Amino acid sequence: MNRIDQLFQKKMLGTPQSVPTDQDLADFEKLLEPKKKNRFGFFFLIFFGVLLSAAAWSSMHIFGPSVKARPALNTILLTTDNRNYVLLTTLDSTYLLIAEDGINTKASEPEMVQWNADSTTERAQKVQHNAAIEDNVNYDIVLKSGKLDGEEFPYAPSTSLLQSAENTSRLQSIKAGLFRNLQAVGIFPVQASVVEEVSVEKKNKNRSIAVGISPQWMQLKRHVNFGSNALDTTSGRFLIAAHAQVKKQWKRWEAAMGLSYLSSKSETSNEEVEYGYFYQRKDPLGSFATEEFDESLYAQLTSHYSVRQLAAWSIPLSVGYVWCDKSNFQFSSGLGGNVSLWNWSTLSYVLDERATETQEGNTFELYNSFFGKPILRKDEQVTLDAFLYTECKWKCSSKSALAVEPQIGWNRMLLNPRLPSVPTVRYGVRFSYVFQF
Amino acid sequence: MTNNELEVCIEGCRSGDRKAQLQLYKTFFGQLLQMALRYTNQREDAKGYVNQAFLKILNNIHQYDASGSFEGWCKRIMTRTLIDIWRQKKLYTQNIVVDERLIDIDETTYNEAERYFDEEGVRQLLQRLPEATRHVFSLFALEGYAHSEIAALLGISEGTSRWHVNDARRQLKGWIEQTLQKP
Repeated sequence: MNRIDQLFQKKMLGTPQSVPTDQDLADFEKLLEPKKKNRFGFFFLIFFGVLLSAAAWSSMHIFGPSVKARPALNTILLTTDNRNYVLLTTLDSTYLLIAEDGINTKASEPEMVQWNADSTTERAQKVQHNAAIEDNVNYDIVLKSGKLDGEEFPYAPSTSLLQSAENTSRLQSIKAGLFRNLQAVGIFPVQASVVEEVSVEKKNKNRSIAVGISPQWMQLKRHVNFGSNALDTTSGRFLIAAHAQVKKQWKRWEAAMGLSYLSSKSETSNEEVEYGYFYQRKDPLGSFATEEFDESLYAQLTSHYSVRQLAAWSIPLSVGYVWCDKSNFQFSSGLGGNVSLWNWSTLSYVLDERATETQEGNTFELYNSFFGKPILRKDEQVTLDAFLYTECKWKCSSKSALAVEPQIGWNRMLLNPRLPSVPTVRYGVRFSYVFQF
Repeated sequence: MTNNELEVCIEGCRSGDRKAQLQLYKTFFGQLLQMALRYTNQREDAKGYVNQAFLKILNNIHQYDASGSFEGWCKRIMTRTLIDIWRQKKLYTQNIVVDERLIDIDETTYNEAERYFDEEGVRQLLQRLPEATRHVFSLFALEGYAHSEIAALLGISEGTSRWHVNDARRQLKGWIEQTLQKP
């Protein structure tokens, strides 16, 4: 054995052993004592837990949800189409609602019918057509192959969401929450979502509503617009947010993010109208602006359609990015514009533009046939429905220029606050809102 | 404490008899404290280690099957407890090339040292060793663990264990010879 080891063994292993002192024993005995439950602390924690929850709840409702605390998965994408559809898409794959609030609005707005009766022939025809569609109040919503973030929607086919009072209440609750938290929350682009295809079948008329959102579309709508587009063809098909990748008759987007070219073709008339516009991404929130404008398209459009027609078409489809003066009109209609252009004559959306003299000059108020009342009157507080559908106000400035002036602060930022002497197209496309509840 | 008394005490501990538990503590406190003091020169720290080990002993005393020495079983738990504590300090992560040279003191020096140093003297020498080296040396020279066992316990290579033991011997030899040469 090593002598060093031996030395330490001899000295350290053979020595008298220590005896625990009374203090040592007392210390150890304390360790053996079962720990008493601190009931006060327990109730204290419960109390403060409740208190904190209440505080969080109240702050949520008073100030709106915290921006920082908004996870992408627990958000709801609110979109509107040109026909009063509200597409609520949760990004956590829990549910998807397609609500045709316009129908509900119609039912609750008898004055609209009266207003329609006073309309011009042209308008009346549109309204009739519109009414023919809208007579079918109950849509049976079928999610054929809904996918969100790669996961199937939990809904079973033929689930009529709006026919359920519970779902209606749910929707109203969601909308109320949206409105309440709108300005506190701010607007955020969609983080991630892919809805492959959602089909909505309309009862009794053998019409179908197809909502198709391709990944590219969703990617784009994060930055641009998620307005669902309506197309009512003579064949009875009704498309919402149909996209080239979903419907083959539509050509696909040919450009990458940030620079998109859209072409479309009318299924009904076989008349192809193509136009392009460019989006230039400015910030991650999805505001866009461009100085470019397709002059040939403009000429083509204006040769066929009056400014008023174009305006009437473009407004419901794309809020907030129409610039024009009384003799010229330029517009951008966002992603939805393609639909309105080639199928504008059958669109069920009717706007009544009433020029009224006000103390400040010519003021145009947009009327929505579904509402039967001005969408926004001057100084009118934005109502929820107005916000959801077409929150915009036309104003004829003293410079005899018309501009769409959205009432929502965030959207106003997208527009050039100064009306240019030479009309310039500003694309301020923001239809998509993501909120957390 | 006789074997019969120990058996009664163990049985009492199994049934949660506080008196038996304290009796067991008194009986083995010294041995376990001695082990702990090889690794720390602070008695309070050592007592804390002992108490940790004793809690493990009492909590697991139903697992003692009387096939071996109860004292040895307690010491193993003490050793494991110390190792767990050392592992938290991550002292043994290095791999060291082993110096296989035999390091020892001659017979004369051993005899002089045996007469000169008492327990406290050698403990002080031991405490001067680097912590990791002291732990390995204690396990090897005082606890009787083989290098393979030490390697397994501490998660090091056998070579590293040998290096620590050799290094401990080298330093202890120097300190012993240096001490003995003092007037």
